[in-house]
Amino acid sequence: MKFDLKYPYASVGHQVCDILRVDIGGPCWNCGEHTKWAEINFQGYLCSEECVKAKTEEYIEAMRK
Amino acid sequence: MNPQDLSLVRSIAHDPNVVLRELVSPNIDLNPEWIQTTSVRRFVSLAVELTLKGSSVSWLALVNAPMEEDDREQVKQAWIEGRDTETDWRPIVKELKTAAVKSLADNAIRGYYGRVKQEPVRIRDHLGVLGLELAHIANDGMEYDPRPSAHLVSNHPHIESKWGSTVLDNMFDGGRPNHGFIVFTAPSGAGKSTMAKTLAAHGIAYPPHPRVVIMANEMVASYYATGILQALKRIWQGGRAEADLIRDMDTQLSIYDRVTTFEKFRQILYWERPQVAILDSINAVATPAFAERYSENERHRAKADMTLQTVNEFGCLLYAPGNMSEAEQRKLRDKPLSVNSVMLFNSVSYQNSSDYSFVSWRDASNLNKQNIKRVKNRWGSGLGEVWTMDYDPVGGCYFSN
Repeated sequence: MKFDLKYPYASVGHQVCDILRVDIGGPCWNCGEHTKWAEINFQGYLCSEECVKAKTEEYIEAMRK
Repeated sequence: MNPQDLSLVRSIAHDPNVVLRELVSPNIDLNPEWIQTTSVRRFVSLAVELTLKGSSVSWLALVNAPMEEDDREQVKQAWIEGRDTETDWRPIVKELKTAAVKSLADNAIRGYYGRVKQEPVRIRDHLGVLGLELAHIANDGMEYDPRPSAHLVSNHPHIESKWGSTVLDNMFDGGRPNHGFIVFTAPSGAGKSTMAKTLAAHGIAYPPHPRVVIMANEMVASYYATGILQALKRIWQGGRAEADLIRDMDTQLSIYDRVTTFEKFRQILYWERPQVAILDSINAVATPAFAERYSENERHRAKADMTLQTVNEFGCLLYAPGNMSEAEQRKLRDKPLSVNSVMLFNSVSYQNSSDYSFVSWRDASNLNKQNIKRVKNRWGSGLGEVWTMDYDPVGGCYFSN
């Protein structure tokens, strides 16, 4: 689910768990769509739960190797 | 049981979100994947049961239940593998806690202020209950700062006081700004941490004595403690005993080392509420190694963006030095002490986000001279100005005449 849909009223600086609503924004690290949500641990823009999940999977996979 | 309660109980079988919206906050929306797990359903059933039995205070007791240390990796792993674990409800509790505490506290306080003048005797009888709710909120560490000065803060940028150093005052157009994001770009070994110690020492020594926090990830805490004490000795020139200077440092300064994640950086600002924060260095706030696949410029942009939001949120003056580029750090092995175009190019994101941006270097002929060039300031005037500060090897800081 897109964070924009999930938290439509989130203001700039709003933090939900590890997701931070930012002001400038940029392309989503996973899907490339422009977003104003950033993941704190990855220090990258991620637009939705699915994209966070995809990157988390990648991260765990990379850690295993 | 009234019909409304019955409908709530029925709806839980279909969608716990509906129940939570009814009971906690209209804005709440849980992750659909969490809702599928039985532990979440059990958690929501318990909450509904408590609500039907009693008051909103039960809700507060539930959502304020002490959590064990958040084992994030374990939760993420369980989430990915689709396992149902006992720890699954923790992130939900985190969301619920914020939503429930905020909405209940707002309602209670609004109700109290609204009615205390109309029905003073009756409403004051209920202060015990309100007090109980407020105690829960206070124990949870709601975003409330009891210091009066926190409620006088204006977001309008202004110069709050003098640094006590001519060059530092000139660099920031007259003195110490009340808040802002200072980017300080320099090659490795050019004196970024020394400048951090200098700023901290001047903050401690000169009124109105702001609260200073150093968050370090390359040096240990003793490096800063020793250096700042020496710098304070230099500033006071024997006018104040060493024991007093140490007491000054203990009162006004906190030093955290090993601040290697962005989350920890935000948590420290949340708890400390400093006026001057130093993140030494912004490059060493770790990124997972696999993230190298992410475009370097985008990653820097995200980091600069998040830092700016954090500074605005907590209203502090943040000094963030760094090379601002991993590629640049690799190149510096061959050509130390140089500021070249690659470094400047990669720091564009930081410069866009920052309120002040400086580039610093040392002359090869005289390594005790530090040159500082202003690239950006709030008012867009005097850009390109260069100042020189002298290095004091004994004091471990910079000074200007």
